[in-house]
Amino acid sequence: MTKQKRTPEDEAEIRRRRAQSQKDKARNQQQKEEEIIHRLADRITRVIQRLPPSATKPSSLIVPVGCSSISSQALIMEARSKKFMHDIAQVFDDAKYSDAKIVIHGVVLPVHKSVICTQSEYFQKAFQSAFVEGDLGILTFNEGSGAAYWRVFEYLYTVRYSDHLPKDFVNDSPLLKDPRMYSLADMFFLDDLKALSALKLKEKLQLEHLWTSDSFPDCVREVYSCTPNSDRGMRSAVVEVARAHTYQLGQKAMFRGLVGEGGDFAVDFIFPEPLDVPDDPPHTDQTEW
Amino acid sequence: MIAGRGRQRIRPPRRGLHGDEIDFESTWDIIQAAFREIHTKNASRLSYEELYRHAYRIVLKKKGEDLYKKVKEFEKQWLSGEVRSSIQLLLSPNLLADAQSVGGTTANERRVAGEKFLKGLKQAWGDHQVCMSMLADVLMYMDRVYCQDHRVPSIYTTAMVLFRDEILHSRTSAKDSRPLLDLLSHVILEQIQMERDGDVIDKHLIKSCVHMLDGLHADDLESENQRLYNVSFEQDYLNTSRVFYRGEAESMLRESDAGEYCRRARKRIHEEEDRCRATLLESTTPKIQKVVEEELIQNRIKELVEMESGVRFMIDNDRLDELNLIYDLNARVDTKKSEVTRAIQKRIVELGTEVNNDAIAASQAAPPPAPAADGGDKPKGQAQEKSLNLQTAAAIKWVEDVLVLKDKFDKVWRDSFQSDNLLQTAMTRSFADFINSATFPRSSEYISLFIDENMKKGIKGKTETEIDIMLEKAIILLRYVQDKDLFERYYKKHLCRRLLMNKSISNEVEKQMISKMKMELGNNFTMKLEAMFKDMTVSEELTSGFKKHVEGLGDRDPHRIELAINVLTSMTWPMDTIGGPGDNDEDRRPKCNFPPAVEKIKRGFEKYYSEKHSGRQLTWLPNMGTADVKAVFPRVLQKDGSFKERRHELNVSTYAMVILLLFNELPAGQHITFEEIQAQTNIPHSDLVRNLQSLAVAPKTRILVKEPMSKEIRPTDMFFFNEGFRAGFIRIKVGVVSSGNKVESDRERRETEKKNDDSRSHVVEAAIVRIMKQRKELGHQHLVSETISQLNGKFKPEVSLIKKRIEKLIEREYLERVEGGEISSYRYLA
Repeated sequence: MTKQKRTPEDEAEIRRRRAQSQKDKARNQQQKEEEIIHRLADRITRVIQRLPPSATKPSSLIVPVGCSSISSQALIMEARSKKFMHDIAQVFDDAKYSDAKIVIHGVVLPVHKSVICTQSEYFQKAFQSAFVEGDLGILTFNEGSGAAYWRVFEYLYTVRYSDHLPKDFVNDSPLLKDPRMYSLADMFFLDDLKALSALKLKEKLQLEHLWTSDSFPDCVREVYSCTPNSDRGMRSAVVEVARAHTYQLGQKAMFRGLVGEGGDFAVDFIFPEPLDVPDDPPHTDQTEW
Repeated sequence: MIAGRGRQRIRPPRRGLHGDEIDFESTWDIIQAAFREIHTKNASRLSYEELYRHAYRIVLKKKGEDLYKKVKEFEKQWLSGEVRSSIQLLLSPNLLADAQSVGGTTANERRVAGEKFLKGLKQAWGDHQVCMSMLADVLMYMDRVYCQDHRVPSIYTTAMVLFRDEILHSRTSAKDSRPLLDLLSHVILEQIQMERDGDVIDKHLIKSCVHMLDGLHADDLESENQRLYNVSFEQDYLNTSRVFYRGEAESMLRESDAGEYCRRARKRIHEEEDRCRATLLESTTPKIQKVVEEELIQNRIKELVEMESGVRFMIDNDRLDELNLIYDLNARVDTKKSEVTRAIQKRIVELGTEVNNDAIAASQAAPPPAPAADGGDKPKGQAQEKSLNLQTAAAIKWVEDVLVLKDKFDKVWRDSFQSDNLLQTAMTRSFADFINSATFPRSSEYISLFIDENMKKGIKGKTETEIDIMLEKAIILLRYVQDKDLFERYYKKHLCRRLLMNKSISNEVEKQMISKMKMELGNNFTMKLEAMFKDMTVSEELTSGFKKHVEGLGDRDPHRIELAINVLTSMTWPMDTIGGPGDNDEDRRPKCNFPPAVEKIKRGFEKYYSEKHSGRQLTWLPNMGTADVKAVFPRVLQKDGSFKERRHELNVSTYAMVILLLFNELPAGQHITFEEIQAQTNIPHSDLVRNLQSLAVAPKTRILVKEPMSKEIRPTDMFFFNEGFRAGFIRIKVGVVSSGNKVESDRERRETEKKNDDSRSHVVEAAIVRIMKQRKELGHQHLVSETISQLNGKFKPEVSLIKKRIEKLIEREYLERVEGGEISSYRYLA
């Protein structure tokens, strides 16, 4: 907060006020987003804990009467953790305190090892090992979707990834964006990002009816090519939607072509697994069709 | 596969879902080349991202298993090729030869060769670990996805197992089929042996190799007890150490004394501890400790303790630090420290018995009364007297010697045995053992005499603290005494004399002693002693009361005799000691005929007393009393030529007073014979003899003249009043032979013990009745043990005594035998 001083209003003051109102707007926007995030977070935890939605009433948050100090402590802690998250988000794409660089298709992103290495063992190893990355402090990604890589780092700093296109990467189509996030999350061992991206894709397909999109078959291909067999998070999302709309999809030549290709999707589409299978089922023989 | 930039690069159908086989070989070639670089320490130009991505893709294409196998194969090749040959190069011929038969090369050469081998192995292992962790980093996705899903060990673990199989389990050389692992153990053992022999070895190097062995398992399940270190090395190490220390213990016992042995053993123990810390693993510490302790201590402690320079020598020469060492060693293998304890106990009893024997010898060393040799010029009584004095001295010396012994062992206990409670108990038991030894029945008497001596002389001019220390000493010894009742008997006897003859220096100290005993032995023990003090106070009151009473009678008689009297309760005081009518010898002592004047005042007091306390009977004990007599001797020529009447105040025994008064009525120059004196006074023969000896024989107090002049008193002797008596002082004390507290003669002791046994019988019976009254019915064994425990504080009754008392109680129908029981038991008859 900037303090309003009772000094004669000069232009600087006006400018400041304008900046302030802009900031306020931005903050409102941010608050909206945060609300969404909170809702999301709730769902994420539900997904992670694999609880039915009805069972997630936070009964453990009831504070006994007369323990106001405990509850105010809890409030302080909560505020503190919000502030902390905010502070970390502030240094995203900021060279300040940065001690390493990520180069994505030529775009340089200054990063902080303490932020990214603590979250992912991949970065930990990459910067620790006696390889060239550890030597120079530069990690280069020249393959795959640059936007997806960028969003991974955005997520590591801000706990979310945005829809708008960062920098001048070529954006991923809506139905490829989340599978690619999921795939990278899998590669970097970011389980919560996996859950988040799977959820987002599910919402897009189900709520926004994007399963009707012509790019749905490509989405399925992407999902099946970029996750290992044992990883059901994304795969079950697309299979579920496809099975729910078998008839409509069957009308589409593109979708029929997809099933005609055979492979794991075709198998899952025809022989769906029970809905509540664990994420990592015991080893089953890999079926190569 | 992640699609490239944007939607333009949508792959055509029929590709992509299965992954392409062609990719794998070429990708693996890239990876393999990179791994080779890593193994040749050339990794800094490699890109982690790229390698990871390649491996990631392979796994994603469901080729995880192929990749895993390839990596494993690659490592196997690498280890069996490059690494194994480089290590075999380090095996110098003499190292290999030594492994089979020692000899030929010097220790130093062997050490250097061994170190070279260890260094090489350490290097190979270290490299392998570093490289494999880099590989594992690159292959992390494979570990996470393929290995976890398929339940196969991580690539790192597999590679470590490969090192074991390809290197450690490989043949030492083409000719030598033993695995390298055996050679490694052997080399490490040899190095350790060199260190034990005083060489300096590279501990760090060995530790690295040990860590390697600890990191590998003999089986593929990685079970905790299958570590190579434990399986292939540790047991060998323990076995060779056992052999080594067994030999060393033997040679040390042969070559050094016990103190040196302890020092070296302790050094060895610490060395092994340090070795485990610095060279091996700490988990071995308790195991090797056990081996060393068994070989150096447990199996040798008995020998060690009993060595000529063993515990006995250490005690005798105050080797406190060595005692501490041997205690410490013993404590390591035996929480009870039984060997040291036994030796200490033995030594205490030995030294204690010596003290006992010295006391007996000293008391017997007194010139035996030999009438033939010196009967002519020394009366027999004096010889006896002297012997008794010697005995008293021996008694006091005994107490002091025991205290010195106690101090000595207390110091040992404190300084060498870390104030160990178990040892304290054991030592206390040993002290009690010799103090209550069956061959030395005098401890109770000696301790009482020691107190007596101090009360009469010892504490003169001493400070309160010094006195307190003395009293405490007596209490310490008293704690050991088993037959507290016997002590009580002696103490009473000695105290009685001190009180009646005013020998005590301080009444205060006497009372202090009583209160100390009270704290130590309880109220019961001191009750009668306190009653004695009370009698004394009451007697003082009686004396002054009687004096007032007499003054109140009116006309003052100038010849009135002043009476100071002690009225003693017969149950409280030891009547046998003061010559009163005891239980057994009632009226043995005839009543003395007092002169009329004395008789009058005696009757006066009896009347006075019976008015105050009706129903009490007074028995007079003239043998205990004293009298102050004023004597006028006729004028005789003095040294300065004048004639002068001389007045002396004579302090004499009551009997002597009675004798002297006979001469008052005798005309000058007349005599009385011994028999006449006896007839008129009715003084017992022995008392009369002793009193006449002091009056007519002792040169300084010769108030009577005896005819014929000799040292012996014979019934036919005639006695005259010695008109020519001279003395330097006005007040003269006429001592009577034998009045102090002396050691009892053997006959007296037998009597005392008999009396003590008699009173014990009563105490035992009382205890039995008490127990039976409460229990109603009780087995024989129970009754005996309970009786013993009840009487524990007083004395330790013989079982035969208890049996006898039970019989008596059955006879007197307090108890009856329970018929038909399996164990004999008794029933209480109300």
